[in-house]
Amino acid sequence: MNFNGNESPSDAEPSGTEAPRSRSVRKISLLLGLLLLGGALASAAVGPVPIPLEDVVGMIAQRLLGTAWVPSACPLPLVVAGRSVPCATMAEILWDSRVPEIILAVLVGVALALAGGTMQGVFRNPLGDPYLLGISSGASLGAAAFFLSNLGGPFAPVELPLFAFLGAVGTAGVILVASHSSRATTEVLLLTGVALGSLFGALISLVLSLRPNGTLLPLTFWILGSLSGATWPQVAISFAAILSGGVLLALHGREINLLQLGDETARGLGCRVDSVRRRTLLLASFITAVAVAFSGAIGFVGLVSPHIMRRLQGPDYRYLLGLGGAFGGLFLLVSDDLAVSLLGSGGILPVGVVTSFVGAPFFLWVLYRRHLGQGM
Amino acid sequence: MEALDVELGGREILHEISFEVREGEIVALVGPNGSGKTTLLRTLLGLLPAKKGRVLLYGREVARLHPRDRARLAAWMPQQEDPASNLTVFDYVSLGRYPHQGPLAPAISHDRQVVWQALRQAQLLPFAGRGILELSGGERQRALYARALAQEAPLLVLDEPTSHLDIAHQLEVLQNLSRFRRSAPGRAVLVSLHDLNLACRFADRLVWLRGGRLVAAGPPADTVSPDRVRVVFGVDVDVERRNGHAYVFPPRDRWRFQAPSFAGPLVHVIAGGGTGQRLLKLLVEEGFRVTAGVLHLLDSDAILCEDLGVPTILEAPFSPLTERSREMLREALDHADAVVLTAFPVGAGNVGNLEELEAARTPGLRVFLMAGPSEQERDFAQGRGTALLRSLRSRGAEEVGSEVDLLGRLRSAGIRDARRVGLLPSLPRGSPGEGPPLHHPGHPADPPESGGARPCSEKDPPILQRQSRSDERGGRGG
Repeated sequence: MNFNGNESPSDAEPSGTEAPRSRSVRKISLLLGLLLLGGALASAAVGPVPIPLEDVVGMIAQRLLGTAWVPSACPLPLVVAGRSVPCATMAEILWDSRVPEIILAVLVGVALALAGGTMQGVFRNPLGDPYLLGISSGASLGAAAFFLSNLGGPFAPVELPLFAFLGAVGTAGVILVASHSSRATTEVLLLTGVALGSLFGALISLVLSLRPNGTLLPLTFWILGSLSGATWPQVAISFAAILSGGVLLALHGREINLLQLGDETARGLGCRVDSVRRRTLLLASFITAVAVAFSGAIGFVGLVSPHIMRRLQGPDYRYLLGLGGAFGGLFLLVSDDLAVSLLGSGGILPVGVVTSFVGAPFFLWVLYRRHLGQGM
Repeated sequence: MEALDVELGGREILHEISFEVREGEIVALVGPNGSGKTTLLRTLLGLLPAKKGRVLLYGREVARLHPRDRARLAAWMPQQEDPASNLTVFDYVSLGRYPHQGPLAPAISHDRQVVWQALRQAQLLPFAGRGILELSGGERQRALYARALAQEAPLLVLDEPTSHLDIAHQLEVLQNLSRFRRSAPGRAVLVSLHDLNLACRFADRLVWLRGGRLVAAGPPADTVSPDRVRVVFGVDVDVERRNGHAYVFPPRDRWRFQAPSFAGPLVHVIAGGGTGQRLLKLLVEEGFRVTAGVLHLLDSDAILCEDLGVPTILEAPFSPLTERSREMLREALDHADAVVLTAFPVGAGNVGNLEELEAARTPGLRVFLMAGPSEQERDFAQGRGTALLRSLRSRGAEEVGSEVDLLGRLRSAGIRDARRVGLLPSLPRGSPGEGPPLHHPGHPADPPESGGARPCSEKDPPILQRQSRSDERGGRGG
């Protein structure tokens, strides 16, 4: 018991405790913002068909400012994401394929990281990720249903995401309805999600083993995740959904802080715990379902991003959610760049593979860089 | 002005409880584990639903209050908290401002000032930047207190705040509470305490709970009594008053007979006046299970028994045996395999021992009388002692010349000491003076079945049976 008092003569707060936190938050936000902008620009230059950066800048200036731009030679015909693109000009590649993909990558990354952070906070579990309530399995099941039904052709870009979205939302819905019962502690919710996830995983395996033709290849690649083939309609939908859901979610930071103290204490402080939990899980599930519908079940982003932000600026969820989201966007953007460019003209890697390969060692390095322990 | 007014009933755990907490006072809930203290506190704050009745918090019904409004009036401090993230102490205490802020409002400078003030009051300023999980138990209690202060609620409700703290921190917590309730108008404290003495010392009023029911309510001086403690806690205590406070002690002149912790023969000793000194020491050293009584407090044999750790029935000095002591003696005789009486002087105070022994009808009980001065010389009970001893002799009580003699008789009667049956493995077998070891064939200490003390029953540990079997096979030598 220290009785050294350390009384301050006035009521001014002793300097050094409150200020550094907000300063570091501001620094990190600035840094992330810059990185995202720069990254987006750089990403436009990257891909199976590399576009010189000067042309990227030129094309953007032309679109936004109306300045003239003279392109270099037209690239050869190429195949992108299973669709053959006839001899496209660089501008077409940029605006029809790359820019949507970049924006989608950022949006999906933000959504997954926000949802992952929310899961970690609401379930008080450092292993929380956006798929905790079985959402990825539900989405994959939806996708499997689509591939089974053999609906290919021109409707695929609409139906596939729709099926996946319904699968995801359906799974989350089951769990959230279950959460209304009085026996729904966080443990029960978690385990229900795990159980459903396992069930759907088994069903998917069943599908794959019974009807491998027409399902095995596309479904596997879909599950691994892919951002190419992004279209502007997809981007528009994702933007609306993820931005609105994400902003609402990030505003729950203080209440998620309260949840960290335990349900009883949170209630004692006047927090409506059940309603907060339901709201946040609903929002997180929604943005995850949208993200997964368009990009497949990309792993690791939602798990790693909140942890890295926690290491950098602490466990305060008022900032953790938003900053984690920004980091997730950046992370996925970089991963997608690697995915499309690593194999050169040999094709593109599924994004999920890259996120795991990059994310896992990075995560381990951050974990073991300092002493372990001291909670989250 | 009333801080809290409670009428509850009909829950399975709580029944018909009605009490109030007034401004400026500390009310302590006392009662055994499972009496519903925590449930009551939680129900009061609306953390648990109440079937019947209502709770008024500063005149407003708790059930109708918005959770944040309720949190502005009452601060709940649970017994244990397990934060899942390592917030800084400053942020942890700042969470106490939530009832005033809500989920979205930014932290304004007034909020920060309140938090700093709370940290100062809880002597936590040096810890403000540390992680909450890095604090010790006592420091975390202070952080909890700081958070409650930051909440600026006039009523503090605490659930067993002293459970996991050492004495210094316990006193610190209670002194804080004591200061708190007088620090501003309208303030009060409701706390559940498991330590009755702390409650008596610091609380203005006690609320006694048992089995979910309210047994009594009032100032400690008025409500504490041995009877009340016996009714509520089921234990006998002494109550003393000093400096205007009541204190509760474990009883000195009572002994509760407890079931034997391990099976085995039991020797009960009746002595007094210093006649049992050698015997008691010998029996205990030799590893016998011994009980004693009824002895009088201040008797040298009683003091020796206490030193040796022998469970003893005690009676007030110079008074004849009360019904309660007799009852306990009967119980002891019931459980004993042998009774040894030393040559103690018999008087009005202890003649009751002989009376109870004489009346005892425990099957297989062996009674031994130690040699000493003749009965007449020892009898100060108008001949009653002599008569009783004669009667005992005629019923088969055996005369024994010396303590060592007694040991032999006990063993031959099959009353083994704990060492011999392997329950105390530390001492070597066959040490001089103990007689031949168990395995030697032909040893007079035959298997217990042939002894008279008590048939080898379910009370005996299996090891006895095992050894007797090896005896029958001829033993393995020493």
